[in-house]
Amino acid sequence: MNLKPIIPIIALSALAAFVPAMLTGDPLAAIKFSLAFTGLFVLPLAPWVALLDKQPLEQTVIAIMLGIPAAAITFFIIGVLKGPLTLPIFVGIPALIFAVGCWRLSKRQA
Amino acid sequence: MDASWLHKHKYEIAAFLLFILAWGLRANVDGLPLDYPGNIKAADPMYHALAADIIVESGRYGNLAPYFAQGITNMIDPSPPLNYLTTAAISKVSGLPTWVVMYLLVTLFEAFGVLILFFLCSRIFDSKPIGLLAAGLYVLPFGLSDWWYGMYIGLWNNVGGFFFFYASLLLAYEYWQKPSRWSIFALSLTVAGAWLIHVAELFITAFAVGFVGLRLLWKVPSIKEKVTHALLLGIVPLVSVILFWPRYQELSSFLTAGSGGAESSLFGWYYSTLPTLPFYTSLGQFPWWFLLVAGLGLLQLLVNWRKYLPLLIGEAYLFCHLFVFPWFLSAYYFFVRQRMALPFIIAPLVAYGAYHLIVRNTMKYAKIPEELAVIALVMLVIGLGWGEYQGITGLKQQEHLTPAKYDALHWIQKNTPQDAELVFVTGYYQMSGSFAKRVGFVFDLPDAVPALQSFVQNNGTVNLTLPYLGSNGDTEMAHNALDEGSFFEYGRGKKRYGPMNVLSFDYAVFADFQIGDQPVIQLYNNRMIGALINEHGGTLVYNKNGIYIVQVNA
Repeated sequence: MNLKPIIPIIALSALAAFVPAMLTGDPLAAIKFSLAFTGLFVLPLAPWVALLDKQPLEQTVIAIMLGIPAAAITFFIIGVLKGPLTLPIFVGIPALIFAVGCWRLSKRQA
Repeated sequence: MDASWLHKHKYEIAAFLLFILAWGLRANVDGLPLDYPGNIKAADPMYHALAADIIVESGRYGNLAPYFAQGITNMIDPSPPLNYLTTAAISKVSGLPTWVVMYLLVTLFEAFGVLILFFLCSRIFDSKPIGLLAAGLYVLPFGLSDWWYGMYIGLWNNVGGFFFFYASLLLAYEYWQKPSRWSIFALSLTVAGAWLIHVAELFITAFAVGFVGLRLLWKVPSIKEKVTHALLLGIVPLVSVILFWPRYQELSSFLTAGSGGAESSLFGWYYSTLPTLPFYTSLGQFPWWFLLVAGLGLLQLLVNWRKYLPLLIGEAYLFCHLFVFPWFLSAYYFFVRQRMALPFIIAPLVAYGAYHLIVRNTMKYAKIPEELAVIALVMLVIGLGWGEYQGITGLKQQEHLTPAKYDALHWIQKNTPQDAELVFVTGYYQMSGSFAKRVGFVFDLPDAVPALQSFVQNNGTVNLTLPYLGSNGDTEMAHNALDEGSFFEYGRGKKRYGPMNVLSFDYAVFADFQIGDQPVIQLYNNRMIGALINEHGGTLVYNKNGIYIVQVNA
């Protein structure tokens, strides 16, 4: 599978999140925020939006616009069902969405 | 990446840089301290940050922490949870404090209008220069101290609601141009997002959905496809509404509080009361010349009305929603507060007008390339807003919870039993005592004033029974609905009100500073502490930076 189409989306999101987080005065904190934001909200939808016939910046905008509610609504449903909202859930659900997206992207590329 | 690629995408690159600038400028207003929540300026954001903290610490969603619920462990949290869940997820993964993560997300929500305006206007006008102008107008909107008030003071869920409103507009226009399954499902996510972050924005967002609904009926060819699109649009909001409805019921009276007061009926004549409402904004916050350009842009749009019909319908609806409906519909939270979105709503008109008035004439008479004229105009607009921006960044110094106050709360967390009950007699108003994470009754400013007046009038005689009104204290969020029985039916708890005696608490907290007459506060604190120690066997266990904690019941 060629992951090249998702790299600009990830890079744009990570860069955008890093710069304002530098206002904490701590580069490590900024990197942590940037990676967590991109990893949880943008990366999962990156292979999905890469399927759209749009420029990388617009794909990134769509990934952010949809990644935030998609993650939150999933966590909300798990929370209502009394499931634990622990690290494996916060990381695992986005990872699962990313994996399915990669599978779809690979099918399109094949 | 070569020169031709950069040239081809110059407007996208400029829009991206404007977005980063806009996000950074917004995050800078309150600062992002990592070691104490100094960026929190009022009760609302205190609550929002701690609600996310509760999820991080307990791994559970849905119940208030006991320290928000007068010690009751199964009281439900009725607030829309999206902001708390996203913040908790990032905070848990990154280890960053919730007050930093939530403010970064909220400022992202606010700044994201730059990118949405760029793509929306580029598409509506089929012109990236106009898109960039609209984006540039949103970086530092004129009158920003009013438009950003919700962001920097802490109406953070409100700001998130606008993010989903703007996103819904972009997606609705995408669908209007080319109906597709992905765009209608995307709209479904943003509508559900509006519902789950701040219910009041759902109504104005519903306009975008209605727009799509019309398109669905008219343009999607087959019945099967119509049904599929309708299901894709409805499924996520429907599930979210069902799952959140019982909690919404607990807040519904607050959200529908009318322009004529809590008891007002839905229909009435509220024109004269509108300017007296809190957070009231209007077009008057913009400079006259800005409105003039917007008016000229609107006139030109009207001349070309066939081409720009969706935009004109949208602007007309939003104008009615914000400026006509509130005259006779009383749900102020649903109609008036949304005026904070005016810089976004008006930007397409101004950008269109400015492009035709300024950019085209500059190109024609000064022979300046289009991109240069647009970038110069954007920089001029940002420069004009800079003075006002500098004026509000001073807010960073006005900390609601100073390091000294936070230190004392941290000491309480480490050195008192988890079930200890505290009374914050002075200094910790607007929920700021809640960072102690103990059941704490805060004598907020309105509560403290009678006690101080009585102290002065009685020539310094202390009265250990305080007239607690429960107006703005830590336990304000205790809404009495208990998480027991079925999911759709809650039990009822009993909330403590009325006068309370300091001796009935485990600890009493005093701070020598509070808005008002400081010498009186210091004298009052001294007399109260003296009485607790000398007459009632209390022990002074914390004395630092003008903050005193007395253990009352040893």
